[in-house]
Amino acid sequence: MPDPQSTADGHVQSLDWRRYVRQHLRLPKVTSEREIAIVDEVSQLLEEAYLEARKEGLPQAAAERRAQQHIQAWEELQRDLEQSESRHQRAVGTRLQDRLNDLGSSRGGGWQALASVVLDLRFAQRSLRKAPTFTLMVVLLLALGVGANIAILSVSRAVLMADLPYDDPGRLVAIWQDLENRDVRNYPSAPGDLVDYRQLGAFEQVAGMFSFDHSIIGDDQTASKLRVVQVTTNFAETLGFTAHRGRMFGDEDGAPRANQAVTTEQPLRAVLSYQLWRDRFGAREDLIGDIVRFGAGPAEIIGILPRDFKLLLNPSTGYGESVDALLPYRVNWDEAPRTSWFLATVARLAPGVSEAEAKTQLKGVEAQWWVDFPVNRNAGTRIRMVSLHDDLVESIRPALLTLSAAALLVLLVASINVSGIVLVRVARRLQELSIRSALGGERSRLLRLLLTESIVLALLASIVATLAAGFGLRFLLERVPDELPQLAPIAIDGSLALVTIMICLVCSALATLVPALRVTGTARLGLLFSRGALSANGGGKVLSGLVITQVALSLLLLVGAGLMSRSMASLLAADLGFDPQKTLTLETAIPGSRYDTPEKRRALHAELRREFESLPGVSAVSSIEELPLSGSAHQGPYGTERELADGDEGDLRQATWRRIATGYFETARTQFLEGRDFARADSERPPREDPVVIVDSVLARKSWPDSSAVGQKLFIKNQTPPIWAEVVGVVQQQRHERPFGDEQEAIYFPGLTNGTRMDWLLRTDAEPQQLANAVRKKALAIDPEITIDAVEPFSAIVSRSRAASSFLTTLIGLFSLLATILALCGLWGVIAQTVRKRHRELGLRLALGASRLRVLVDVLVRGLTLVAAGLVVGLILAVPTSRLIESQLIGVGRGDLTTYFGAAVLFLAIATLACLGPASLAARLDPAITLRQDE
Amino acid sequence: MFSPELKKGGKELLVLSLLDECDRHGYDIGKLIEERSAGRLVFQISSLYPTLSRLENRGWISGRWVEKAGERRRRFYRLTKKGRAGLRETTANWHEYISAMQQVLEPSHA
Repeated sequence: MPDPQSTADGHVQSLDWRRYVRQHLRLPKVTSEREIAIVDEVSQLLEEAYLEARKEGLPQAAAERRAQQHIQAWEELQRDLEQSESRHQRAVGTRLQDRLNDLGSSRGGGWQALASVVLDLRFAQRSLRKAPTFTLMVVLLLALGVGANIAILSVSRAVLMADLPYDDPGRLVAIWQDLENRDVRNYPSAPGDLVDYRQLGAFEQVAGMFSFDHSIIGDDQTASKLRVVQVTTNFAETLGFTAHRGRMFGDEDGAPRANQAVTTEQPLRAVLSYQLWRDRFGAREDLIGDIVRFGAGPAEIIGILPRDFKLLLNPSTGYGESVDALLPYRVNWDEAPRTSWFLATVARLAPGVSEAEAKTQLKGVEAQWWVDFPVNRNAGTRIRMVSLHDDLVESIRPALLTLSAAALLVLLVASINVSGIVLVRVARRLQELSIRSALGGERSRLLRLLLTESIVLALLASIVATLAAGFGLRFLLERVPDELPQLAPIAIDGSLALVTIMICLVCSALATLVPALRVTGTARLGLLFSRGALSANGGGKVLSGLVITQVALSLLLLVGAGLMSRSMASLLAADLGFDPQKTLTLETAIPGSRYDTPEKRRALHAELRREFESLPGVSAVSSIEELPLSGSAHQGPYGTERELADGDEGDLRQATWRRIATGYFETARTQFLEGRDFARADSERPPREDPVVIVDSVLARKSWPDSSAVGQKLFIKNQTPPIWAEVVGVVQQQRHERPFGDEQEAIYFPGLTNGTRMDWLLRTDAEPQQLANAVRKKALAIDPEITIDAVEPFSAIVSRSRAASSFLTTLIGLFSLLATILALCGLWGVIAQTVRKRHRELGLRLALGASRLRVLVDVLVRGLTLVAAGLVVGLILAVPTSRLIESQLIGVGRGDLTTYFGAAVLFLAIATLACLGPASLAARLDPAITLRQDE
Repeated sequence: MFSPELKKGGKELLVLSLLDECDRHGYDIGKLIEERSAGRLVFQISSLYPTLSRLENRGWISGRWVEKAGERRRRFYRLTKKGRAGLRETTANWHEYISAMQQVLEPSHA
């Protein structure tokens, strides 16, 4: 009976109803917040009843009794309230479930199935919510693997498998020449060669093209650079497209003119790109037929290219995707030259002709050339035909395939990891599962529960992955090197994403099903409460196997990353033969129509140079036809008296040709090994008068291995007839084509007065980019019709040339990091699980006097044994797998032992750290507690 | 078949129909049940409170503490939109139940 409370003045007060309720009502299963609210209201109701009784005139004690009679069965109230509260907590799911159950029992069939699926889903959701860390971990791991795959595969598919944006693109091929005896690939054809190709039945059309820079001059007299491609008049028919406005070229546009001069009466004929038409001429419809001013003279606009037109040729040949204007190549095909090779050639196979058939026909042409032309026989010319698409992706394909393989490895490691985690979880829930199974829970239902759980996980991961892939793709595309042709806009490929997600679902389901089948199958066989059930069923072995596989696969990636990093390091350390630091580069083009003699061009050149030199902070200025690492160079055959001794030109070699101004090597900081630089007189002499050249160390060594090159004569077929030039200097080799690998020897000629465009180098005292505006101003002050382009530090050109390698290195590095983290997570999990399983045993050993260090080492050894096994498998697998990246490696062999063992040792070191966590836990076990558990 | 919760539903129905008239506090609801049944239905806090709590958790009624000047602090309940729909359904069920009972107890003389 509750005690009435007395106040200080002796007046008897009513019962403290709140305290009274608290004493009687126990609600352990209700949140404390709700409990307070319930006690609050119930005590208020009792107090109300008490007060009413008092109002009726009952004495205090009787009034209290009346109120107390309202609640006699407190346990019943407790049960009622707890039921109502728990229903509230899962109200949403329950009501859906109730609905479905109702529908299921009234209508049966599909509704019943749906009801049970929803029930499973709710169980899964509840059990996953109970283990948020687990859920988060699995979802993130899987998402990383799936996301990386979706991103990489989307790019690969868009690039490697998309159709070219031309009509019937399957019939388009590129025809190049390889000069076997001179180590030259992808050499263009001579106009005369095209005549031979065209006579074959294999081709419907054969088109040639060559690109050069031009300028266009606006009404404000300023010029801007134009990327012009001069094409044979059947260019559009060959590729299969029509003009957006106006017309493409016809035969009459390609007829040679008696008088070469370009005048308003005899203008150039041009087709402009859609973008140029829109941006420069406001998409004027009446532009067709108008004359516009090109740097080379007036040009009549006859058509506009389709809006999305792209020129898609092998990027290594120097043809970019964007074209500003097309001009017709004028030639008399009956007298087409045979000895100047400059036409990149694209052909359309005749209907029904296979590539193999065309190749056979080209073999015939090749054989005929070897008979007819010594030049082809000497160079070892091979005609190589390749589908236009393959030609386009030639340089990027190995990189993409490598990356796809790496991404797949990551997915594999992630899936294995997830299956490991699910397995450990199954083992932990073994007791629950065993009880359910023993209590008559159907086996199929238990399996379904586990399966639903892992599928929910995989689905969650897929959602995260698809988002991650979006970001991943943006990351990729921002860093992608120029070699990646954009055939189609690259986006997440829906069907690929779906396939990847399906794979992920299937993997997760299998990873759960296999161990779960073993567990539920034996759960009734007396193993009911045994914690060792998993290992008794070989689950322990399965786990170990998974860890070994993960370690092995991660090591593969780590070795790949190691090889790529070493290759990148040697790329960065490679001597370029010049110093790109603190050097500003720019490109100028002058209107050829006004500077139409070598004298005029020379004067302008000298003036520009003087102005640039006068800029504060500029210490040296020079110029070259085409800067190293920035584009395709002219090249051609050369030899010494020795090669020509037999009167045959068969032994001629191929060299890169560069025309340079005086002081070029000094400005570029290229070392002179012998002899002297060009003098001004060298460039001002007519080209055939006492010609002199400078050669690089490679050429000098090849030509005169035993004597000095200076003073020697070199036979060069750079003009007709060929010249004999005297070597006046030898410089160290400059990297012209690429910053690594084989590089053709170079011959430098004095003077830059042949063309209208040239590249400048300005060595500066400070940050080169600061001078950009001043340089531009200086040049335009001399002549506003000079176009200035590509004003950038030399170092920017150099890093562009390394972009593909650094892109690949970064990505493979990222992937291997990912895989290593995944493998370590897996390792940690397994060791932790082992420690948990061996709690009793370890506790017992500690109780029997084993030292803690001994236990620590024991657990560590168990973990590292797994790692070591994985590493051995990984090392063995790495040897053949490294073939995949072999073509991407620079300065390091794919069998580089240092990298292999470095990667293995690194992995072992991190793995030791990962094992130390659970191992130290084991060593800190309290035997008193562990032994009491499970009793 | 009628829901086995019909009995519980009876109590709920009473509470809901009283709240359908106007907002009331818990004790007031109990007293009204007693008064209107002329004391035949005895109101007990032990059964009233779980009913209120259940209905509130279900979102059919909503309660809030009100402190009026010169009056005690009380929890007032109001019928929600969902509760009004629930009331209609429960009433219909109840009528059906009663008529079924009647048909059994006083079979029609066909």
